[in-house]
Amino acid sequence: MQKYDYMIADTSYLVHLDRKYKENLKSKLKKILKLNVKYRKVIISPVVKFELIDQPLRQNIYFDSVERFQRLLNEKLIEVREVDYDNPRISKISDEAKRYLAKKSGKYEHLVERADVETITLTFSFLLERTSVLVAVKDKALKEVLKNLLKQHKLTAEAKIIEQNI
Amino acid sequence: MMAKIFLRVPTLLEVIFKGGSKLKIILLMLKRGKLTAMDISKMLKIPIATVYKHLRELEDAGLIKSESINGKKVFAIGDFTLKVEWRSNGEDITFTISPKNMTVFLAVDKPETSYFISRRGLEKFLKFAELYEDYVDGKVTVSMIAKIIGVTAMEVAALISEVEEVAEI
Repeated sequence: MQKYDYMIADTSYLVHLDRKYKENLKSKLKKILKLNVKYRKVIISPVVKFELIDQPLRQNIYFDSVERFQRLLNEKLIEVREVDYDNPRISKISDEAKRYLAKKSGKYEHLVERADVETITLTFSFLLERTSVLVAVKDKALKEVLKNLLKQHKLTAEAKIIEQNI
Repeated sequence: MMAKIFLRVPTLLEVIFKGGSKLKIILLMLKRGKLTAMDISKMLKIPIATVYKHLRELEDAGLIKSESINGKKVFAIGDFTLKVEWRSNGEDITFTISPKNMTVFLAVDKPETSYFISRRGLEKFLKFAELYEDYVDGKVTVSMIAKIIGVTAMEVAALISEVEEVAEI
């Protein structure tokens, strides 16, 4: 089985795993990484970290999940990486992703922000550095935008999108 | 304040769809698309004669439709919308059930969903049910739904995870 250098995940995927496996989240994640990911790390964008930890903390909800995610961050099983928007190629891909998503969103077009496509932009940050990635996104909209962009930039061999719920 | 009668929605759906097996057939079609009676019989482990009886009744009610493909009769979910105006014990609720958001309503007595309703209120939940149709179609993301309703992305992601579990047969 082909192994990818890193795994990039979005909020939906990680919350799905957490709510399903609760206290066993870490061991489940480790198993997935061991089988599929060379450096055994999940990379998330700052937006995803905000949605998994900072936002629920501010609202006093999901303490158990927040604690688990915080532990995984401390143990560096999950790492936050900034997206380098100063890189013109990344900035261009971010704009393309935003445009695709806005087109798909129709009446919600005005709601699409740069942050909504940050997992996609993060994926391309790795791919452009010749680092392969396994992408775990559950949002159908983001999945389709990512597929289109990977095809357009001829990078389908370096990235794999997880298709099924685990 | 949560409308208590809302917790009875799964029961209401069972009545609308005339019992558990018919509801399972609808859920299976939602997940798999077009199916033959034999497919349904194998997947749900229900005798073929019973499947035909259920399919006939569901088709007569306009909830599913059939067509012939390569000489085989296949069944698929119909394009129905149920507008429910429910009055009980002085509480009024109006909501719309479609094939795409039906599983959202089937989850109302599940832990994440009932916790969401008690914490955020019925109005936000019904808005979520409406937006879930667009989520299934790939028009909105979890973050966008959270923005529209005014809740956290984690709550929306947890709801969706549970709703998808309900859809698993």
